[in-house]
Amino acid sequence: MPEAIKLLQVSGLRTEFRTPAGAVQAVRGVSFGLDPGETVGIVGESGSGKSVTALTILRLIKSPPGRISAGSVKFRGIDLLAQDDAYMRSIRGNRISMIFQEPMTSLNPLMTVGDQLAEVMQWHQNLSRREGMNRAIELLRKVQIPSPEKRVRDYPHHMSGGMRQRVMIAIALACDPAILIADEPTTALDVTIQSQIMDLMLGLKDEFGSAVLMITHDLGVIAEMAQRVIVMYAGQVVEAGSVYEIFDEPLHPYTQALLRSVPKLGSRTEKGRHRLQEIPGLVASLINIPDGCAFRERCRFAGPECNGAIELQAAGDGRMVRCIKVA
Amino acid sequence: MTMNRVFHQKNLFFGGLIIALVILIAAFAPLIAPFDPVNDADLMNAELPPSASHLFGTDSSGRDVFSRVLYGARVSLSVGLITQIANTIIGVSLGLVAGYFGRFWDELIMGTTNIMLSIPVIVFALAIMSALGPGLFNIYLALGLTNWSYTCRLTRAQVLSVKKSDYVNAAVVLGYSKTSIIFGQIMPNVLGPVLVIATLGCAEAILMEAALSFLGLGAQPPMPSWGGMLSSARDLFFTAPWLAIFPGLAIFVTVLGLNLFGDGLRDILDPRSVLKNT
Amino acid sequence: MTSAVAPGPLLRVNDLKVHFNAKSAPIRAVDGVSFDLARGETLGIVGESGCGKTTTGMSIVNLTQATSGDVIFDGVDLTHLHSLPKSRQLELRRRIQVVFQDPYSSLNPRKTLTQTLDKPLRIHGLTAAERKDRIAYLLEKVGLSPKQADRYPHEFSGGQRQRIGIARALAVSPELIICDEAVSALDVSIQAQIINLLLDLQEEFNLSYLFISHDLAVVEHVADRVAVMYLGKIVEMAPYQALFTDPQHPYTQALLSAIPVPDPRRRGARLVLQGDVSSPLNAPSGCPFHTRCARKSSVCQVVAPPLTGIAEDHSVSCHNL
Repeated sequence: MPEAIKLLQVSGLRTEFRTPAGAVQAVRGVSFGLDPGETVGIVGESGSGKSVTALTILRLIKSPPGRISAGSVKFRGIDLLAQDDAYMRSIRGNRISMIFQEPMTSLNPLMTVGDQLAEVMQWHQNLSRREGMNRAIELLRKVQIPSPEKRVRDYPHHMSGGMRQRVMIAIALACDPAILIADEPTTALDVTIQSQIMDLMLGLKDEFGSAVLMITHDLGVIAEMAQRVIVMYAGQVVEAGSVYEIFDEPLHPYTQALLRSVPKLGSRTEKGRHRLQEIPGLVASLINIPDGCAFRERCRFAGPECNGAIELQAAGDGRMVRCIKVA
Repeated sequence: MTMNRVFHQKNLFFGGLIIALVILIAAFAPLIAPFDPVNDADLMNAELPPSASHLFGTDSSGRDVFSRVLYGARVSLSVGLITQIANTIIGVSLGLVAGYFGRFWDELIMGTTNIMLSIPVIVFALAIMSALGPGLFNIYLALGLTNWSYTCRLTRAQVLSVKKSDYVNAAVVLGYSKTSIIFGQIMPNVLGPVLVIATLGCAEAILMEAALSFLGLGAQPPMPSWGGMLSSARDLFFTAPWLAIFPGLAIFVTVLGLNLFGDGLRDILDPRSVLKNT
Repeated sequence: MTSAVAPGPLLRVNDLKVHFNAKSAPIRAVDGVSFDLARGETLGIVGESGCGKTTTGMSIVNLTQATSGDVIFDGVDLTHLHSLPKSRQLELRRRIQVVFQDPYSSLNPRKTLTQTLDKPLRIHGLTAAERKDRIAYLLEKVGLSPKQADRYPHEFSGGQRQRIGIARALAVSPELIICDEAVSALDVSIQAQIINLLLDLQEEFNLSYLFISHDLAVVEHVADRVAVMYLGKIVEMAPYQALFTDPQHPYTQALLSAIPVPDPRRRGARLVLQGDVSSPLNAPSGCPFHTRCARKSSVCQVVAPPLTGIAEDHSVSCHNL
């Protein structure tokens, strides 16, 4: 049976950055797919390549020093990496949109939020300014900003961090995108506000039906939002599976260790403290990465066989794992 | 790593090369110069065009222009160096006081720099020179005491940002004295950008000295200075253009070298370019 | 090295207020905070941005000037630290140290690891030989290699830098360490290492910690008692068991429920608190939390509830328990 065309199919993606110290291989052969309407979480620590992967999909890598050196990003079968800049502009913010961690720096401080929303729609959908403004009010209402008729005239600095992130979400959803990429959308927010934004995103997802690629370091946010989870380490996918599989029965030693090292609310019941399970060593450097498993120096199961090239292998129904000890 | 960066920075490298050359010339002028710049006057051989015996020709008193240009480097460099050392010491001290102690001191010092910045340096210097009278020493004073405003503001801004950092907080909590915090923790983080300003200021001072000497206020004849040489070449430009061209070139090359060096320095000291390396 | 065990708590903060001048009304960053901290104990202070938790910590070490109230450390009022003789100031400084949040801005970029550790030891009167031994000892304690002693901060990773920050605090043998979001900027796998290090050091040196954090899961893990702050006030304070299993204040309950749990089977169980975190710039009258509270009554808008004991060591400030 021929493979059906995926909404998004990323294959063998490689991105590197030139620095005086050597080439930083931020993304080293990442492949995954995204189906319409599903939420896929990419989880990893700093330097895992999760954010660079997201930026590469939208070709937002600044070159130089960055370079997308291999792979393809097929959106409905069309390789975005092979298209011209005009085509990419028609995709960004329209078919694929993105929200970032820091809502303050992603908004233009000199434009009202209404103008910024209307601008996106004027650009992509040829709406008049008046239509754009009306749509803007409607969208602000959808992201649950109180009295949107008044708030459209506000500048970003009039708003709190949570409100600004709502505006960012409204801008991202303005053109009814097929894919929404969210890069640490709640990390800069307070926990009660994070909770509101997560609820908002879950609600809007049902309404707009966009597929969501959720990038975060927070395992709690992933567990709350994602259907499928991709775990990244040192620029590679080390494990992929459904959210239940990943949290109930992690296969890769890194995923296992990561889950054990997070302090969980309510886990300290007995009197007295216990040490957390830590992962020894440092996060792997991305310069001059040796062959073999990047996690092996921190892994308690590592042996000499971990020094060879290790592929991402299927481990049962839709699950993938990059570990020679498991597969 | 650092040396590697220096060599990769073309501006810094070529600028440094030019400056090193000028410094060597100034230091070894008596050894290089074929003639005495002042006493070897020979009216019989006045205003000769460049030739094998007089590379840059001779002036209206018959002195060797090449030798005079070599010696002129001493005046220019001394002006650049001495005035910038003075400006930097004044600017950094006042900037540290304004930034660290704030309140009254900040308002007083910033008010003063605002006034100084609103008066063009050349006007300021001219006023001082006309009060003190012409002469090289008075040039040091006029340029060394008037051009510290940028250094002062830059230092203050750096101090304000460094003062809030947690490593300064940690030093307070550990019981460091004020002096030790100012000189040990804050100052080393301020000096990089100040050095850039000083290098660029050096070029500015050399131009300013040339301008003042051109106006007859600088080093007095017969002492060879590039600005003074230009000044006396003014009337002879069409008959003996070499009298103006060579000192002019000397100023141009030296100032260019300093500016290149300053730009290069700024690039490698820029915290963002440092970040790229880590 | 330390004085004989004194009766009473090591640190007593009493009605601490830190107000900043603003154009209109003063900003009440900390507005009447009181707590005790015993030797060897960890008090966690949790709350969202702008609640005054960091300002509270910084005013204990005089990095922020308290407007009123007392900070009594081992019987000495630290709010008047500057009026004490220099040698006395230095001795008190030695006994309270801080570990800061940002491992990048908390180390002087132009000082090597050795220089960072050597200077405080010199200030506190150690000889060159003693300092050398002490530095080697500190590096070993925090898990750094002596080979790294001459490196600059940018040559270390975030986790290693935080180890250096801990070594610097530990250098002068303090009794109390204020950990201001000390593990918040670190990756999960590194965070666990640093938490374990802090726990080990506490056990070995009988340290007291004031552990300031927005991360309740981390605080539950390290604290003996926990104070929850909202808009400059403590709204609930209790031993960790009571606070995490039986929270009484509606804000504590909402805060605990808002945390996403790393378990997909418990998703959607969050209780979502409406509204924004109020800013101390325009703090509401009465109970600071009433603008977001589901349990509010008319009295809440007028009268600020006092912090009242409801059980042993458990106090709450709420009219409607």
